[in-house]
Amino acid sequence: MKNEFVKESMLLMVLAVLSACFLSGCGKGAAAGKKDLRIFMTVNSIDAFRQTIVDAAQAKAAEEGIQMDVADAHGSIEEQVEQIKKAEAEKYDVILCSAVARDTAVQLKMSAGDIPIVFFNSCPEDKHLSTGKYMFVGSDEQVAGQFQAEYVLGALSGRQEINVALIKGPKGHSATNGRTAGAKKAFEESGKKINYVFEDNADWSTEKSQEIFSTFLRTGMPVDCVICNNDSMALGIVEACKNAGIDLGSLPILGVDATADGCAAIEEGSMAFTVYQPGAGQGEAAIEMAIALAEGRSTKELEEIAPDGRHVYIDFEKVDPQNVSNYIK
Amino acid sequence: MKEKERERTRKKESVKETQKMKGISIKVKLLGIILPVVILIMTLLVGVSYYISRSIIRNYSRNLLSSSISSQASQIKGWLNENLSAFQMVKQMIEQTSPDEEQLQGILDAYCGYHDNYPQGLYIADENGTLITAAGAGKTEADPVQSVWYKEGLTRWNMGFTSAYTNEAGEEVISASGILNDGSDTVKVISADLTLQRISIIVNSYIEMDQAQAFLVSADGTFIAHHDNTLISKKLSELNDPFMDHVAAKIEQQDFELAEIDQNMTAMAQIDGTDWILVSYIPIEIIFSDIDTVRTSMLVIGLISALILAVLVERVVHMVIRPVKKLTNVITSMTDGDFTVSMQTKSSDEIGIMSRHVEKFIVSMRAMIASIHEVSDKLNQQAGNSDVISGQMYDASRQQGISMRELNETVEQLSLSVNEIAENASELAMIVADTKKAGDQVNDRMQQTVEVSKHGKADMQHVGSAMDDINVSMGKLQQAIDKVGKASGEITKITGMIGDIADQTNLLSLNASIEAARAGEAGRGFAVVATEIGNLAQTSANSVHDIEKLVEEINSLVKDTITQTEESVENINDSSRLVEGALATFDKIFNNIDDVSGLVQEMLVKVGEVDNVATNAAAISQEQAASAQEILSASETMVTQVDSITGNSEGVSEGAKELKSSAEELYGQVARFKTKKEAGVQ
Repeated sequence: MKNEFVKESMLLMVLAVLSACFLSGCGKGAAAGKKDLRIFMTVNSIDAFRQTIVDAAQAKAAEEGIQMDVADAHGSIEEQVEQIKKAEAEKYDVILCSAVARDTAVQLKMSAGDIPIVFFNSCPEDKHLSTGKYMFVGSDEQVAGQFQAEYVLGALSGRQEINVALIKGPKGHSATNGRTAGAKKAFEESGKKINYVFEDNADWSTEKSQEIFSTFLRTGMPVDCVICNNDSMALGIVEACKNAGIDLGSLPILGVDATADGCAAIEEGSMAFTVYQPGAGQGEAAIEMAIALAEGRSTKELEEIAPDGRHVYIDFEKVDPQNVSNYIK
Repeated sequence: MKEKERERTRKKESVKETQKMKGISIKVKLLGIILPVVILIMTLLVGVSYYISRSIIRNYSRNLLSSSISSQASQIKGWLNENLSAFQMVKQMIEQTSPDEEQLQGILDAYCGYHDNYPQGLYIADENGTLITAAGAGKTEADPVQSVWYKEGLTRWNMGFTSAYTNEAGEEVISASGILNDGSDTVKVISADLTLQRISIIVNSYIEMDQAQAFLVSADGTFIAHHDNTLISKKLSELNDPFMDHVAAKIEQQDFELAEIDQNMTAMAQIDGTDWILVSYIPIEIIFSDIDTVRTSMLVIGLISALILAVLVERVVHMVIRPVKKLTNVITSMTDGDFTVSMQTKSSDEIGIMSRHVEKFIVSMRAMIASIHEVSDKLNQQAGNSDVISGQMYDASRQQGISMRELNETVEQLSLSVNEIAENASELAMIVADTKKAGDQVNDRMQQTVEVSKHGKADMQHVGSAMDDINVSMGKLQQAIDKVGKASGEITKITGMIGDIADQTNLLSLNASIEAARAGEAGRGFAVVATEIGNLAQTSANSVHDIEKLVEEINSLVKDTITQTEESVENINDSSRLVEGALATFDKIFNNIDDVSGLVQEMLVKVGEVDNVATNAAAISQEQAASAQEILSASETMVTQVDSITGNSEGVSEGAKELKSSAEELYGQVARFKTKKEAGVQ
């Protein structure tokens, strides 16, 4: 009797599961063919680095035979939202978006309607991403900071106490937060005593970083290295140091992005280290992800997909005087 | 004896069985199946709904806590930034206007008491230890350059928050400080204080989730804000609280994921622009207190329902089962042989139908048992009778055996007699055959005689005609007379022989009559023939007598004739007449001989018949002998059969005895069934 009961209930459960599966419609219809895909890209003010991303994405799209339209938001969140609304109206299949402000992710998603968005360059908060719909392609910003800290720790390996100046990007920017956190984490894990003698935001600006660091230098506080969230700010530090007559050979200045100016500075010895963010790789990966999202394929098959299934990270590369020539174009 | 014991144990076993059966009644079985299933289902339902509600509430609480903490964090951030922007504006104004000392004092004074978040307003210290504060702010600092706000202010140009510290007035504060670049060569730091008490109030005011608590700690685990003010500036690890230790560990690992720590759902969020971490938590028991109430009430309802159901099922089953119980008792009584019980019911359901049928069954069984009673009674008597009869039968068959033996002997004797008869019959047949031969010879002689007689007759006839010649032919007469004499002699011989034959035949017929008489029924036909033969013989004998007499007469006549012839030839006429007389006599003789010849032939035919009959009789007798032999062997078989009958009848007698005991047993068994109510028996 008991067995029969168990059998019956199991049968019922199986039936229930089957019917649920049937009603919900297992599987989805095939998406539009690859050739018909249309991708819209909106970029937060195209600078040198973002241009590399755009170029690579366009090349990749052309290779795949996909139509891709690019728009520059010129650093305006309003303009970006307008662009995305337009893309939604014109029924693009996927939107690639380098958000002007990462906090606007919810608004951007709303404007895009049902269209999936591949965020790049600036990563929205984790909670605003979801697998198969809103995903991010970029580089793990923490790794950039980590590479910087590792370089400093290597260069100053004999020191137990290091005075660090931190020049950060805009407050709240994902790159600012990630790179700063990565560097601080690596320093903390080194077990050495790290004094952050200066830590301020220069908002990616060479002039601002030069100004605030000049101000700092007046305090006469000892400083062993300057870690900047990007190369532009690092160049400002170089200027400030030059003006203050500081020997750049004894003060490592570190940046991120391996821009042309940054690489040149490394080659001439004014900057010690930078991290190459593979913009081209990000652009290609963004297109691959866009195709996957448009076709409703599982994004798990993508290369470099992070365990959370929402990020694709393209590895940073270290650039120092030894290999800087590889990055000069 | 053994069988009785066995029966007793069997009875005991059956009683045990019925007791066992009684142990698990249908009611118990039904309840035993229904109740656990109902309880199981209810428990499952309660469990599943509790589990589902719990996970829903858990998720809901997680979401609530997450959104609560993120909104709280952004509100705190907003509050801090609001203050920071205000300070930054003042700083920027000072930097851009590059005021002289008096102007600077004026600016600082303007901000004293300007906002209750920072009642003391802003203050400035330079690298030489000079502290400029608003008038009446009451801010003192013994050695500004060594103060936390100054030292930390030196690490940035944009104003930012210092770590928490106790100022000279003994207040727990944080400062917003940064380098003031007013164009002079002196390094100056501008700063403003916010009390942690105020921050604590702000932090706790922004909690959005009911009954959740929040506190703010710096990255190194120092309390910046807590509703318990005494904790401010203390380290998480100083509290020796497992929860706080866990939180400290998580902060150390930079793991700000929402988690359940020590029975608290805990969310953490970093306040942007600072290294502060907002920790918000709510005890799980509070989250689940509602669902626990629901669970308890569901359990109670479930229990009550189960109880009601149990009682209901018990009652229903009881009502349904009651007639079955009655029926069971009736059937149990019936099984014990008690058919005095009755099963009256008015119910119309299956059990009612069953009861009515059982009642019918009882009634029919009662009648049947009563008739079985009678039958077994009779059977018992009959078995007794049959015992006696079989005894008698045995005796009779024994007697019969003896008789049969006797019969057997008689048959044997009979057989011997029949054999004898057969032999005699055979002998007779042979004699008859001889007789036939003799008859045939007689016949031949008779024929010859007839021929002779015919010749004689012709001669006699010649005599008549030759009377004339007599004289001449006296010699011839003499010769003729001689011939007549010879013929007479011959006739005498023949008649003698015929007499012998007649005598013998007579004797034979006598003998045959006797034998026929002895052969009984078989010889009846034969006896008739024999008598006939006897009669014929007699007749023959008589005729022969007559012939003899006639011959003697002839002889005398011939002698007379001779004398007379010799004496008188003259008297020839007379002689003629005499011859004529003689002729006539001769005619008579001839006729007689003819008659005899016919008789002899007839006799021969009869003798042939006798021969046939005798042969038949012999064959029959042989057959009879064979039959007698068969009868003998049959009789012997009968004797052995009678012997076996005797043996069998002995067995029958024993069987009858057994039958009698069986009948007695049957009677006893049937007596067990009660069909009438007796005194003291239900």
